[in-house]
Amino acid sequence: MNKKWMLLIVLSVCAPLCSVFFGAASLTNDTLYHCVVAQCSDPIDSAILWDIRLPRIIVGFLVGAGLSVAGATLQNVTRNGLADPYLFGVVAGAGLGASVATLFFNSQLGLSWGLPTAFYNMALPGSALIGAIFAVLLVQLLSHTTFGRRMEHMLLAGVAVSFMLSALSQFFLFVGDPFAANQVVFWLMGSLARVEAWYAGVMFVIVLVSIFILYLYGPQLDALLLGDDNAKTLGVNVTRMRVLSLLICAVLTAAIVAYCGGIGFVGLMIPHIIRHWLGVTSRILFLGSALLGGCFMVWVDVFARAAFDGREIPIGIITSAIGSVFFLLAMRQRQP
Amino acid sequence: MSTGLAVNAISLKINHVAILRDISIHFPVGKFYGVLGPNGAGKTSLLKCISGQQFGDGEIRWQGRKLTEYSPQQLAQQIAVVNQVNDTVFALTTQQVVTMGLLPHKSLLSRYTDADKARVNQALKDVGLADKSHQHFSALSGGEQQRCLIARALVQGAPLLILDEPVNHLDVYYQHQILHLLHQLCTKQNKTVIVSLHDLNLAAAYCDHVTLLDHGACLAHGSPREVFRPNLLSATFKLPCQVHASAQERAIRIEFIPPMGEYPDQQNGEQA
Repeated sequence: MNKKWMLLIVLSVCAPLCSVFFGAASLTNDTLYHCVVAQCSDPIDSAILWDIRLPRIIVGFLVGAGLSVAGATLQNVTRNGLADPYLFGVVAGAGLGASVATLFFNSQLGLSWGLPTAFYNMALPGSALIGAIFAVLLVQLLSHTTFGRRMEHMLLAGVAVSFMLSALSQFFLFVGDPFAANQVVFWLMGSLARVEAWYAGVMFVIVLVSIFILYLYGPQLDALLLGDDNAKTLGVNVTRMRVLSLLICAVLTAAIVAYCGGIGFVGLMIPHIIRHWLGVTSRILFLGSALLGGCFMVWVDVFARAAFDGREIPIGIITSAIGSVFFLLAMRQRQP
Repeated sequence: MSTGLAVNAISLKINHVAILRDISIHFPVGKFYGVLGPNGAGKTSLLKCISGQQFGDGEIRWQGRKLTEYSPQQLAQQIAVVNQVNDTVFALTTQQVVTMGLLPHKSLLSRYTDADKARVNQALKDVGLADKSHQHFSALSGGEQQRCLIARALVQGAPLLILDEPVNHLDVYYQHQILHLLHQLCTKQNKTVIVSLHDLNLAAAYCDHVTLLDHGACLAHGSPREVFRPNLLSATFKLPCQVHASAQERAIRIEFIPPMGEYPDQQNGEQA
């Protein structure tokens, strides 16, 4: 195994371990040691470590890995280094779902239905998930029927659907409760603060299964890099491969966005780094992006919860700030 | 069961424009075939149809079985294709591109063995790219890219090879080297090779049979000596032509005589 992979693996192990020490409540070395090898002396420490901090770190790693792998897949499938999971209208769709949920389930109308509290807690992520999947299906439908089957048409359809759904959700927020609008805007900025242990389990299954399937199909996805016609002559069922990859990316992104909100630039930036550092073939790209994306998100979340005392910065703000600077630097480096 | 490639009454229309018109040809196995004709004659479309990349009316059978009855993977095991337009994004190396030729023979869980690597290296050596195996495909010259894709087709190990203008960007040395290599595949390994060419002299030198196309129709199919008749070539390419054939020379030689003044309209009579 070469040094680059060793470094990446060491970083992936160290990042979650080190990040345990960061947070609003301080956990000392002794406390952590006792909690891990025996039992926490204080039940509050136990709750902080096992119920709040660890699930959050695990989800952070999985969210970073998932978004990076989805970005890498879409870039290879579309043969476009600027493709991003959010180009398919996923965030706009999730935003519309969230707006509708917030409007109906936080209003007097919603409360008058007498539904259980748990239903209200799940209404936002649930509606966001439905909205995200609806957006992906709409983009697919439009790109296959109205615009033909070319990949650039699908990207254009994604941009159009994003604007259409954003306009709709902004209209709903305009006519609805100002408090609800606030809630949706903050949710769209992205955060891991709402993470619970059950979600870590769900994400673990979704991310691992997705990466496993995409890894298996790596050589087929590589063939797509030579163009559709060449891939066909190598025995790749191009349409099936493309639908499968898009479906996996849609599920990955929708599951992440629905619960954690909009976290931009990760799916664009991490595969870009891995492609230059390790290589362009799909299997290398997926594994490298998963590890680096996971590390990156863990540290972004550490910064989000530790930078200001008693107040968390939404992680979408941090990732977008880092991503935009990164791309400006990358562009400058490439200029002759 | 008829062996080889049987093309029965193939017609193709794109946007209501006839690209191929009722073409029927039989390509028995183990021979080297050339598809010739002026620009827009339908050479690429015919090759795309017989390689299963495009579908028109009519029927195409390889070894007695319709192309549509093969799964994509089975078809790729039977037919290796080098298309005319090839571009790639991202920095794939020459070796990675050639290794893709093994894809039709691998399942999802297969690993690449030392024998596979040896096969890839041999193919790179055969096309003269052994020293450029780690260079980026996009950094190769047009001719080197062409040879790299031919190496991929060799690695694919299919009994039928279809190459669209394989010597297009190559210098004289590699034009002959590649066509010689492809001819050897026919004579030594009994493979069937179909190439489209613009150089009629190369076709006369290497092809066992040639097919002359114009306006999507098959004008003639047979040995170069049968097809390369001065009046037929003059009428097809709209230039005066002489064919030099002697009993001593292995191949015939075709010479087009450029007009001194105005060029005749090559599109004359061609449908829009």
